[in-house]
Amino acid sequence: MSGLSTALNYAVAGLRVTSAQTALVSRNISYANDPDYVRKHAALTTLPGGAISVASYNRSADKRLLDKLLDTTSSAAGKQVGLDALARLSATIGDPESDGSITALVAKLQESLQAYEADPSSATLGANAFQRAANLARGLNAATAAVQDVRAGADAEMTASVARINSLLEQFKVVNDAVVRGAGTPADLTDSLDQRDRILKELSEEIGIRTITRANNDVAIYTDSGVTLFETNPRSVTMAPTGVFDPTVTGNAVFIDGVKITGIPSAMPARTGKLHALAEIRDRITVTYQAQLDEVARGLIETFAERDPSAVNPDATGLFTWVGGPGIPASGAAVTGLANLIAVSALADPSQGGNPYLIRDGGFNGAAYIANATGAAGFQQRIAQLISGFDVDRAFDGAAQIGTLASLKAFSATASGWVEAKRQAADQALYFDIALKSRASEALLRKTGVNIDEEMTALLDLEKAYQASSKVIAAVDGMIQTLLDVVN
Amino acid sequence: MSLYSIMRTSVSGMNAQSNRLATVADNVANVNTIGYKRASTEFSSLLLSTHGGEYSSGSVLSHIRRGIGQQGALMNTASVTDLAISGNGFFVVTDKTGKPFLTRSGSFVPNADGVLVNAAGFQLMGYPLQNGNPNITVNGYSGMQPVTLADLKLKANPTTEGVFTANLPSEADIVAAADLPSGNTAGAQYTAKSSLVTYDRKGKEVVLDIYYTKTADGQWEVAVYDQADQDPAGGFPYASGPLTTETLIFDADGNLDGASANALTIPIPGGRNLDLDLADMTQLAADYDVLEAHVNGNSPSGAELVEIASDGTLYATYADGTRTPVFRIPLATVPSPDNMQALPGNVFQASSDSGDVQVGFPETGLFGSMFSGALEQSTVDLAGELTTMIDSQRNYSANSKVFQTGSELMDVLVNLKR
Repeated sequence: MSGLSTALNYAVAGLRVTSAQTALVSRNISYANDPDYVRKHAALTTLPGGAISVASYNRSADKRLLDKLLDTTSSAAGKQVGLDALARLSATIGDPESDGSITALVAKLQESLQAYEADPSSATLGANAFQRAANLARGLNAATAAVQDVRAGADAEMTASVARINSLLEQFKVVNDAVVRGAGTPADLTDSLDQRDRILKELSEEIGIRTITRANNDVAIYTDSGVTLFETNPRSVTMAPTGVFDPTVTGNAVFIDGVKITGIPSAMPARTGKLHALAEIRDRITVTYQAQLDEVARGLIETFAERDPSAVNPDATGLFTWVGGPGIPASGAAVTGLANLIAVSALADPSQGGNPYLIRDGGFNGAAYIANATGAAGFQQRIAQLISGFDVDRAFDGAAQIGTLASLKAFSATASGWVEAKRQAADQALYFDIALKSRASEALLRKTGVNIDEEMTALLDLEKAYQASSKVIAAVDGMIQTLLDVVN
Repeated sequence: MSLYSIMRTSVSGMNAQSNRLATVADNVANVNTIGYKRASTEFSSLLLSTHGGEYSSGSVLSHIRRGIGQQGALMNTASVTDLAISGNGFFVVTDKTGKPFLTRSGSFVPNADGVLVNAAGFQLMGYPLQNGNPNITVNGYSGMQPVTLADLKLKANPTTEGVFTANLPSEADIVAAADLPSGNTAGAQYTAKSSLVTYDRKGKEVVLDIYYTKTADGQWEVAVYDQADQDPAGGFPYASGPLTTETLIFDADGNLDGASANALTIPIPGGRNLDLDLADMTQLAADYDVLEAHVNGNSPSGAELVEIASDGTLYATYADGTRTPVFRIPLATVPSPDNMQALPGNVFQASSDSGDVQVGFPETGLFGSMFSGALEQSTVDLAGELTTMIDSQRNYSANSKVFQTGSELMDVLVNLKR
């Protein structure tokens, strides 16, 4: 089995292998700038007798580095979404320094009352104080609308995210099936494997995932809290969208494989990814901020409440009122959506024929509540009492998460700064996560990406090998020609 | 009469050389025939008895030899059903009438009926494995059938065993006895849940919901439900109670306690009992994390492609990646392969000289290994044949010269009388 014919066979096998490898180099180079492409190489094998052939196509994958990238991707994507929402909230509500913020509006109301106190007989100053109070009530209403708008936005994005997860899982099923089917055969599966990794990367933006590899290179996907996302088949990810949000509406939870992964309480809550961040915004941050606004509103109603001087009738709402008026909300307990319900009493509205002197005298709830019994034009006690009410410590609901005992002024200042503080913290955290993600991505690329220098070196080697094989063919051809010449 | 014998001898020499040239012609023609074994011509002398100083030339006898036992070079191809042998074995093939032959020509492709047929039209024979391991007859072909890829029918395997390994979070809250998933109440609480796709006897998917619930320190309840039974709104309560419940007890190191259950026996609705191995479960102060989840079984699927292992087993690979052995391709050999009778189509037949056929499997005994996706090249070396050809041509000429000389001497003798 040796001889010139065998030499020719080997040379041809060499040419075939070299050209297959050259095709691979060319493929590697053409995808050099695709971050999802993993470098391919051919594994060669020899048959007994020495003929060489391509046994399989392999890729320089690295599961550990990919896992790291998936982790950091979910974390960074989640933080980014969270930051975006906080920035939107912060932009609409205004930072605490601006004139439109709740704390500035509270301060202005107090200032106008102070001016009124100096000249209680002035109808203009009374009307001015009323106007400031109306601005504050509108400000609280508008802030509530902005917060609910952010919640509705988050809910819509969650719906989109759920749809995307479902579609990615469907795609994953197709690619994973192709991989499983081809396992153990010489088929070139590298492109399917690349695609599978790409889908995992995209999936990790939506939700934190972990993967395990099973027989036949089958991959099962679990969320970072261990809920089955994909195992042979995609599991259903569902969330019923909520159309309109007001403070009393609770967004619907996301279920994966029948397990509640968002909402309070949930057995196996998701920890990272967009879906988790959006749920945090919708179900926690905005709800807490709403509670703060509600508490500011309740503080205002409480501060401006009227007392019957004869102590016969219960305390009743004054300048600031709400649908539950003239009753006063229980102290120290948030009334959900109160910031949306608060309004100024029309009785003191000059434009509606009301009497702003009610602020000075009291009596929104009838004669029994009039503090200025003599009707003196210079009556200051009621106004002074209102002004000091801003600085008296009162009880607030712990649900607002900024302390339970504070003055109305301090509480509103803290509330205005709360979102901005959250935003800044999220910004910092995101900066750190993006750095981690880019490092993980670089590490993965270094390991699995295409290095043009390496490919060019390989190409030179292949060129030489091809030349050598062709040389052998030419030599064998020459030798047989010599023999044939002898026959002639 | 030695002058006549000279002429007769040289004629036999010319005949012998033309025989040799004929084998060269055959070899050169078959230089690219898969599994072709080169023929060669060997000579033996035939001497007449000599008396004293008188020498009568005899003649030369030619024998045709075939190097059937010679190994050809293996070259790769792209087809899985191209087979090559490295070693002493031969494929068992039959012609259309069912008569068995041996061959090394392994370029098999499925014909219209799905039967693997080589370039010369011979069918590859193998033992079907549908009914378990074949009973082979060492010295005969009984039990073999043509290897066919046609009736690889839909196939479903019910799930019977599996492994599930996960870490259960030791710091999780304890769930009150009234709220345990095993109670199947609407407000059931659990610590962690996973689901697994399993298959019933008809290959229908049955998704199992597995709930892990901490009932006390180091003690967990496992409850398994059929997901199809879940409440239309999702989760509890299920239409019927748990398929099985079990209690896992962990030791102080977080490993399963010796006294604890370490497996689940789950009666899959419409299927068999699934023995789910939980022996490697841990309970450590970490999150719930699934480390391994695997069950056997598959849904009904058609064969997508075939694969032939080096031990001769032909596997059908189904759409879901499972491989099922369908045929086992045997090899046969004889004690003296070179003495087999060569027949058209690159096939050989055992003869009295070669000894009787022995049948076995690749990678056993002297049968050699079988390679899929490779073909055995012809053993002909072109350069060798050309040299033989030149040599034979010269020898033929030399014999003809001897004849010519004898003829001229006869001429002289005949012309002595005028």
